[in-house]
Amino acid sequence: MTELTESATAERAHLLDVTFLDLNTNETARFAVPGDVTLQRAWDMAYDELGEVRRPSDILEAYPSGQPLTNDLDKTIRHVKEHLVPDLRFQIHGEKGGA
Amino acid sequence: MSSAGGVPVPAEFQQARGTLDRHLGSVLAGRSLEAVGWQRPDPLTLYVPLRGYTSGTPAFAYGFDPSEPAADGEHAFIGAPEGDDYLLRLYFSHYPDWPPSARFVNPDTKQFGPGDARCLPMISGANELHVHAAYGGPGGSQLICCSATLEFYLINHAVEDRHRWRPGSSFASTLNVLSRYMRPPAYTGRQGS
Repeated sequence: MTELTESATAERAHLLDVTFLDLNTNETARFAVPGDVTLQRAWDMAYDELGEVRRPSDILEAYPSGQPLTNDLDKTIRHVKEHLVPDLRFQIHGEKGGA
Repeated sequence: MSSAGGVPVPAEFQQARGTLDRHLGSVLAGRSLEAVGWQRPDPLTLYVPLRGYTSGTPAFAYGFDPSEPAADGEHAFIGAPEGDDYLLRLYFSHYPDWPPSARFVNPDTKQFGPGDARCLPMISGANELHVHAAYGGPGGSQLICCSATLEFYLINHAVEDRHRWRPGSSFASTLNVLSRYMRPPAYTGRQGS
């Protein structure tokens, strides 16, 4: 293994795979992030991957349970994996009005 | 991008059809209409089977998981829990600047009329939607009261700006808000027997 490949492998080992399903469109974004980025940052990156713009009514939840994560946006992805969402699968839910 | 405001105006036919064609690809995540049991009898109409689950489940009411790629030979509702089956008619006359018209219909007649209350799900305690058999009292029309349906704007229902339909949105949001409440505790069965 070359030095460059070893470096790339080591870098990859520190990345965590995340999945975001946008329930506004049914589009899914899958990518990897360093474990020390915040959930907020990963969520922002998901919009870039999806080619979408965040809507004021968008809410981030665990997928598929729907567990709200609004109060956990400052946590690192590593913390989220270890304590909240082990499979790092999320859904973006656009709040509606009615009833 | 601004939110939909004012009185809903019908879209140009080609725009509505083209947008629906494009959105179907992402909403179905690579599946065919046949595979999921949907019907498109004309360019602007979709019939979508939905299931109201009577036991706790994360399953989607339209019977497949859009975050997973289609599997060979996949059919809707494979492995899904039992429940009550409904048929939703979506009509895209004002799409995509406005959401699709959405109504539950009798699967035999493809209409909704007196005596079809059993074709409506009973959804309670949801802030985001309510299904009225006759909005405004006896003689009124069915209304899925939710900011992701066209009828909500046609009756000029009060709505917060952040909940308004955003032009260019996909009808996935209409299906997913229904799906969210077609399971316990909000879903409690059929409206009629």
